[in-house]
Amino acid sequence: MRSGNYSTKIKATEMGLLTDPASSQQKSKYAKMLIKVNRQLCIFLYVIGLAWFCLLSHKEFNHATYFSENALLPGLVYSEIKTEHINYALNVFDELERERESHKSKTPHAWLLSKMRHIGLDIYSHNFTLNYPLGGRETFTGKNVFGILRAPRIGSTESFVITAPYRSPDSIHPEITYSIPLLLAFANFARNQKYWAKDIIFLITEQEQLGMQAWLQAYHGSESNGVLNSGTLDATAGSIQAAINLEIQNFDIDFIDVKIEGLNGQLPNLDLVNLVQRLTLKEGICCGHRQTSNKRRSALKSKLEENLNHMMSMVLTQATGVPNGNHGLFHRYGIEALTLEGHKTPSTNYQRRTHGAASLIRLIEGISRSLNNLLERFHQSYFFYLLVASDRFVSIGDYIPSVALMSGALLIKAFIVWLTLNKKEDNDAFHQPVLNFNFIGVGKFLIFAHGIGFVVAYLPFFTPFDHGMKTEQFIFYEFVIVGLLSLVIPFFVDFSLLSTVLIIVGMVNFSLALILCVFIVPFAIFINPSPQSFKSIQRIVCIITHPLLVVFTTVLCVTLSTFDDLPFHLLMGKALSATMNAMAFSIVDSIIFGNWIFDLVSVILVPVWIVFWTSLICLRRQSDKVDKSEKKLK
Amino acid sequence: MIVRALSVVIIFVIISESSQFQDEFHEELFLKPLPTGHINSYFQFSTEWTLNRGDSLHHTNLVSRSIAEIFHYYHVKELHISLSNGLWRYENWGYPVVPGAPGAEVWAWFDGNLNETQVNEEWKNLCGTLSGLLCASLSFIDNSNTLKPKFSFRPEFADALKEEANATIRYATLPREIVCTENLTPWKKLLPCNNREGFISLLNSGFIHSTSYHSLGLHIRTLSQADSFYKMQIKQTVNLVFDKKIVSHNEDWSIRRMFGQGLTGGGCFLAKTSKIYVDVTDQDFDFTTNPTQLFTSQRGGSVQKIAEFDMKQRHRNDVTFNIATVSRAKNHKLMNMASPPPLYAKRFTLGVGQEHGKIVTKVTNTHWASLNVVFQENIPWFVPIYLHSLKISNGATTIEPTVINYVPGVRRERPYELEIAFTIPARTTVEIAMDFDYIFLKWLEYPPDANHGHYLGSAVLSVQLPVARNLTGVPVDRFLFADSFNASRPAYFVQIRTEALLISLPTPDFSMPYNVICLTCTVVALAFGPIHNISTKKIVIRDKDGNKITIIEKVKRFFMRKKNSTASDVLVDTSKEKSE
Repeated sequence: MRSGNYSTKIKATEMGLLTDPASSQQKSKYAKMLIKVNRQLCIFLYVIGLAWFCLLSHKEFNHATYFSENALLPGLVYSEIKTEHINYALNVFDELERERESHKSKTPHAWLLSKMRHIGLDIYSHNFTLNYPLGGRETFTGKNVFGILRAPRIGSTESFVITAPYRSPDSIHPEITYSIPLLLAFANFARNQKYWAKDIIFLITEQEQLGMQAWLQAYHGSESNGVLNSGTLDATAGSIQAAINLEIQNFDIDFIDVKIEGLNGQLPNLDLVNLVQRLTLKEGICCGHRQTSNKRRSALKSKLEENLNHMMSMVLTQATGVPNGNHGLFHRYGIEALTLEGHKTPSTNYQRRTHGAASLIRLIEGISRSLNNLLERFHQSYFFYLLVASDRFVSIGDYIPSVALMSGALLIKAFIVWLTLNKKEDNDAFHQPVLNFNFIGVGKFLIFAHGIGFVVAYLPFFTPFDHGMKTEQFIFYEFVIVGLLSLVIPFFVDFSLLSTVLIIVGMVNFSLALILCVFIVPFAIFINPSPQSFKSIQRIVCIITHPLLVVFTTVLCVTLSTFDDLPFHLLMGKALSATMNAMAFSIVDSIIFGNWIFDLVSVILVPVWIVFWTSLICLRRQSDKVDKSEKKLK
Repeated sequence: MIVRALSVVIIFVIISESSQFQDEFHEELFLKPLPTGHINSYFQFSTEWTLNRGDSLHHTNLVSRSIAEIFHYYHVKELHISLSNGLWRYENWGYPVVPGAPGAEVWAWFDGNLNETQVNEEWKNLCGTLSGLLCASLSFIDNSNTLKPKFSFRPEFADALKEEANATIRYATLPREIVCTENLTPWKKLLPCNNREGFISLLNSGFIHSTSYHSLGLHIRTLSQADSFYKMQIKQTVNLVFDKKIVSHNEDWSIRRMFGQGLTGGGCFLAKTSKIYVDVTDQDFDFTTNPTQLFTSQRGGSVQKIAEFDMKQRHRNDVTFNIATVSRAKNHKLMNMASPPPLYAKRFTLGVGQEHGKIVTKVTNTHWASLNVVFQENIPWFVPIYLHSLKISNGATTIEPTVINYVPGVRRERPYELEIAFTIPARTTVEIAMDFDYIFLKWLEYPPDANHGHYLGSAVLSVQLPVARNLTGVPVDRFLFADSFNASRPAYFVQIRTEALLISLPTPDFSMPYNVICLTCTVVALAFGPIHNISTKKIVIRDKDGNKITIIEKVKRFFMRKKNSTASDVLVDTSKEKSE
């Protein structure tokens, strides 16, 4: 009977689920094996992760889009847009053109308000002020105008927004004046309908994303940090369910590009994207995410290559965390939003504009009526996805393994470092952990490294601004100084932190995590804290991967591709100033819009880099010390 | 001839019958073009019944028996119900004749002799009965969503001031309630006339539900006049706001366009009066039918011009009575500027994310003097508020409330009761802000379509206005709508209902329980296999050499076992052991 009991125990250890964790013999065996193959394993995981991502573009690994929310009922109703509504749009455009001639650099607020009032909307205007946070302390003011169509079937508890940014004639951005006649024509049509069950807010903003951000901040009463003074709104319309932003370059459009990437890489619900796709298809408008003109599209050879290109372009846009349209700012407030960017045909035909305007108004009507049908807010379908093509997507469950594999390599690496620290050279000592390992010193150092990170993050806010230098330059030099300081400052590596951060980032902004993984992981695998012969190479690589240098290199590449005919020294100068600008912009973005890419770099990546660097420089010294103290103990 | 004789007999019978009952019925319709291009039409069907003390409430004439029975059984002194869809826009439309919060709203006073538990019991029964009577979900009213306001509501029944009347008031709103035809039909049946007579014939659901705002009301009160007899006053109201853009696409409007049909002359057969009033103050139109009379009503500093159409003066055969207007100025594009009423309020929530939020009510006083108001919040138990965060401010200056009546809510049992009395300075906007938390509910407490969000009922703002600007309400001491003309009083009690709010609490993915079940089953199945295996099999150790058995040996053993089952074997089959 006794022997029977014993045998049960042995058997149980062999069955996976009930493994006895006390068998240290085995553990050390596995640990040894792991240390032996760690580099190969890490590289293998990295390659697998990368391959996984590339494979997603194959049609076997992604899905066709579909509607999850049945309440949307896209295109179920007949359009009620009539010739009078189209003519209204055309007439309003002609009027607006005349207004624009007399308002070269301003928004014709009075004209917009009177139009809205005439349609029968409740009209309001909203003033905002920006105190530029960096040098100069300049103030900019702006004014948004909006009209609310009060839905007859509801007590103003829900609403959706149709918005158009206004660009004055001397704006540097492409002209999108046609959005406003379309918006007004639809408002004029919608005002006479009795089926609305959600208030419709027609919003015209100025100052590009600033106006939009100010309006959203005022609507949701976010605490202002004294930079963007958004004031308050005179009227609200309950909780906003969705928003459509119009950037229409002409009535006669070639195609519509659906822009979805928002602040910090947030995306609208996939159902909304599908809705737009379906309705544009119904109207016969060429439309898609990352749509380009038909000719260029057909030039791409294979479907796979096309898909990969599409996915990569989305990843790159998303990774910046900068919204590519006014829609991007809505996402933070839990509002699903996207931008319809209508590109004009190269040779716009005046005759075709009636037809174009008709299909565009019908498109807005269709979207609005579908949104009107919504009973619940968007909650079905996907919030985290990558579009492989306009009608195919990869969901979070499918793409997260690629990042997880890559950052898993980092976790293993961290584990190995931990093991080697504990183990020392001789294998027998493994059972007794080394007690004299200087945890406090390492802890101090980690705190110090991250302290530098925070200093970097808050430096722009604490510097006096009455110096002669330009802000961008000043910030840049500050960072260079901090960078150099951290070089001079002479342990335990932060791999696990990095890996955790990468996975967390991956949950929120997949693209950013992917990009970071692709660049950081090989470097991190390459770093080896144990002294080796090609240490100098490691050091050089480490310096190259300093965040500041990476930013500069990226900007340099962009500059190279844009101005490829410039001489070298000019090019470098241009790249340098562009880097300065980019950093200043990222700080301003972080202050005004709440973009956290700057915080991520300064609080996480810079300290991690410092830790890597230190581990390379002073590893020898440290390990020598440890050895000595060990001998003393013995 | 016979028919005429018969009708004379019938009329005689009716008259003699009604002589037993001292009750009378009036129907009134008030039409008022609003400055925003809307038309407010307000129906009031009023029944007044004078009873002796000992009279039974079971025998009724003009009053619906079901209503009388409510008063008989539930010891109700005064009862108000409104079922509304849409929102009355105070800022643009002025004050309505009767207020109605979005959704359903009920409040009632009970007999002062009842104690707390009895009142609660009667209240629950009353709401249950009303739920059946009006086909509304009033049966969902219970203690967890009932308020007991102390200051906001004023009883209108007689001898109310003698007692501690507000100890027996109960108030509840159901903001999610959707009002439609199924509420209108039973509501109409409470009236003495049938569907095709009098003003009631105008109430066709297809037309009144395509309005910008519609509100059905039932307001009943009892009045003691002397010791020997008392009165029961029943007002059934319909308040509609038509949108001219939708009704007629131009400036002209008519009864036929709004309600889909005209009226027959004479009004309701049982009605004592049957009158239509049209507000023609500053209006720029002509009637196609001449009004019976035009008069001016002066009230609290404002002057109204009223055109009156008396339906009783029209012959019953006049089947196509219609009030239509023709705009005097052709193609005039001028818009009337709405002059906002002395006091109005807006309510909204602020905040990002689903952790903390803020409920803000903005109260604007456009009057030249400061006003004393009582503000009643309506916070359900699932929205925990923080009283310390309550801030009443006018820009940078904080306003100290005069009185605060606060009863903290208890989860699943009692809502948060908060009444604040304060003074609004002249021509200012005051902001009342309060923080709240978003909480998780139990999964069965989420309503169907959980991602739609949760409603917060509208707040009530009560005020004594010194002026009657934009006011159309009937004074407390009067009954008919006609009594509101030339009815100047020292002050006018007005109640304002704000917007209901929609907040989305953190909502679980309701497919989650399914996923959890699947996962648990998998884990159990996986664990069960090995455990079962271990606990049912007897495992015996064999030495290493014995393990190696060649195939030939195996075959040999197989045959050996067949021949001799008792052959000594190392391995013991568990199933065999069991069977033995």
